[in-house]
Amino acid sequence: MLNTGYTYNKIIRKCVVAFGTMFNNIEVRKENPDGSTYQKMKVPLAYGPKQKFLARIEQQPDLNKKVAITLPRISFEVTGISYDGTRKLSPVTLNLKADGNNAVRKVYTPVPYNIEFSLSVLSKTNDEALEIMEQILPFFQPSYNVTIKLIEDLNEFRDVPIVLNGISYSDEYEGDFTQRKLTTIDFTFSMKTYLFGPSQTGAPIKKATVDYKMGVNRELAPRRVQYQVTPKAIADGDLDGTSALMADISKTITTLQVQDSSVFTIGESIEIGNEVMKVKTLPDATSITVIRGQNGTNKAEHLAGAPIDLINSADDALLDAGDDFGFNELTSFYG
Amino acid sequence: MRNVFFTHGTRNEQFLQQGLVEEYIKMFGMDVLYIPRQLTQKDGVFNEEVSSEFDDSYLIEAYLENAEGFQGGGDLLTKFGIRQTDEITMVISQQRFSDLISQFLLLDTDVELGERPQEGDLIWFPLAGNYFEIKFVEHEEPFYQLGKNYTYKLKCELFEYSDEQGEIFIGDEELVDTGYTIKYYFLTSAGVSAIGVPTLLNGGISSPVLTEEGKNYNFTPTVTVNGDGTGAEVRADMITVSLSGSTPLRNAVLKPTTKEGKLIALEIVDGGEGYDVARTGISFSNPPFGGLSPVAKPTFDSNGTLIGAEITNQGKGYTSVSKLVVEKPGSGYTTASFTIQPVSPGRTGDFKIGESVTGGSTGNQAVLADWDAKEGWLKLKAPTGDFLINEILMGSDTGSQVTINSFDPIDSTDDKYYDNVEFELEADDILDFTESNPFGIAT
Repeated sequence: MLNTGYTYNKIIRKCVVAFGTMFNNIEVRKENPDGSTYQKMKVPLAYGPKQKFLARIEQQPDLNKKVAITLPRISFEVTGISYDGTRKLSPVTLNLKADGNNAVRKVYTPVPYNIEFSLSVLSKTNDEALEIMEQILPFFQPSYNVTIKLIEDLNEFRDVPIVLNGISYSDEYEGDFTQRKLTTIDFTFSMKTYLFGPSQTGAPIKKATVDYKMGVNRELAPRRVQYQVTPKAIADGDLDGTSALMADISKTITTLQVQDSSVFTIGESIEIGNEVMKVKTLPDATSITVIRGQNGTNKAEHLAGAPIDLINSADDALLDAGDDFGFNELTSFYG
Repeated sequence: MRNVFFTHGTRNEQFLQQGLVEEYIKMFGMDVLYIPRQLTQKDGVFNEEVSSEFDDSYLIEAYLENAEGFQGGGDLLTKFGIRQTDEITMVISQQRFSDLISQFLLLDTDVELGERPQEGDLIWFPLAGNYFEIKFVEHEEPFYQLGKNYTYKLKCELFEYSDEQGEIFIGDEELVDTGYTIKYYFLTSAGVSAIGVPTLLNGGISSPVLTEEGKNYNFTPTVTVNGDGTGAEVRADMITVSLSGSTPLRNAVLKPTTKEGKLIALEIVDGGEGYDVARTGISFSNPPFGGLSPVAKPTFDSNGTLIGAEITNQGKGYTSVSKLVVEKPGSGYTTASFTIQPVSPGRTGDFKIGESVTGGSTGNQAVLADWDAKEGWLKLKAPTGDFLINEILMGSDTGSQVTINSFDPIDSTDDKYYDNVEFELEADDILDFTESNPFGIAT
């Protein structure tokens, strides 16, 4: 069926939040004749549609309001969602992102959609309405780009342009004195967003194998050599602290005093502090000789008591998609 | 020419009619408050008010024409929230208005018209307890009986409130709560000042001892060294920072900067050497109860020297001095002592609702709408600007003083329609403003 599993990326909701945020810091100021501030008002913003029972119990808890409404106000709502064919890309392309848990997340190309918004401003006076309008219009030329994290799992940020399509300004002042005067401005915007489908996880490739054959006969030529590579850790990852230094060492000393040399293997890499060394020999039960400053690390002084970590297959297994690593090679020959 | 043998209303007949009208209104009417608009500023271009104030109210009897309920559209749900569109028509006596109200209004230069009820004035309607604005004053209904008009018919609709100021609204708690210009500031409660004692070594300041850590500091106090020597400089740290997890060849030195109980900067004075990159973390002294320790992520170079410390969580609640640090030991001291900047004394005196308050350093002004000494907050209405944390606010009438401890923008208004903060908080997780949010509240 369509859906291979439950998916809800909340993309349209995020677009609504992003759109709302743009207008949540608008202020109206009134000045005294001498230019000093008489009053600052922060203009409240809300998503227009509401459940009626909630509006009633939240905004009229006492059944009756002292005043008709408080002004100024900004309200916005989604008025339409439409497919935008001009931005469509090939549907078979995959977006891949490293996943923190030793894996890769993938999602197919999103579908471009335009979300239409209408933003309305209600104010008591013309001047307030214009004050609010002039805090909005200069940002849109005629679009403003907002970077939104559309999918949490993929950490997928997209630049979403918001285009100002039109403005209607109305000031109803003519007529009977008992009719209310209303100053409203309506803006219409299009938000060019993308709708993503389900994202799936795949592990990174950790082993590559190549088989070689001899001759040109496809059916009969048997495999002669197999070459296999796997990633190899170049630094310690599990902080195993298998042993510890028994005496201080300078940058040049190559014989280390350890608690027990039997835990080391010749040819194996070890890490003390930030320096990687290679075990060369095991002269006696409490000392080892090493080659200093391996894998591009700097030779450094180390103090007695510093833990010695082994770099072994346990560290290989911890390698993540974003880590630096070397290679273990395995070549097999066949008769 | 009309017949001169018939009268069409003599003065006495008109007085009688006026008296009967007033008697009727007094018997079947109700007492309402008439609140005149003082138009303090007008916009000459758009021909509209800039600011109006409502300071006075006058009691007058009025007859309510609506017998079966309010006129108007009732309660409507609009895209701007609930709009209550009630309308009423009230009848008052022309003579009574002149006797009771006009004579005072004529003396007030901010009132446009004193002779008659003004459109734009308010009526406080006692039955529902709400404010109606006069939209139209009908003076010719009934039409010239006995050659004169006796009543004003006030056609009113519910007031649209836009944070108009004045003593009438300051005293109305419910209106204060729906205002847009209310700001909540939290007060500093009295704290304990820190005390430190220096130790002298070779004429310089060494190993200062903190004998009292202090309490309720919302700023980092300065430390002054007194004594007979020169050049000593000592600073107070609200947080002690250290690197832990491995033994370095040389210890790193970090200088934390604390503001309002939070760690806002970590300066690396000396990066040290030989730290084990994989094992080393940055640790902080614990805050007093209820606080939260900061979190910082260190970065090292290949020699194990600290080269960066990124604060990922600023923590909170560091309100005591954690240690005294000698920046320069100075010389020539035989005796020395420290003077540590004292903590704010909290509040002195009692404020009065409605008085104006002024900020000590910003000079901004606001009207005190409400305050609570026990819970430690002030509600300020119509501020001319924002006040700063640590600023002293002084009441103009009472002379009371208080230091601002914190300011919560989330509580800046509790209007039921105000979702600005919800949008801001949700957007923090999904919007990428690498530098700052150009639209947002948070800085």
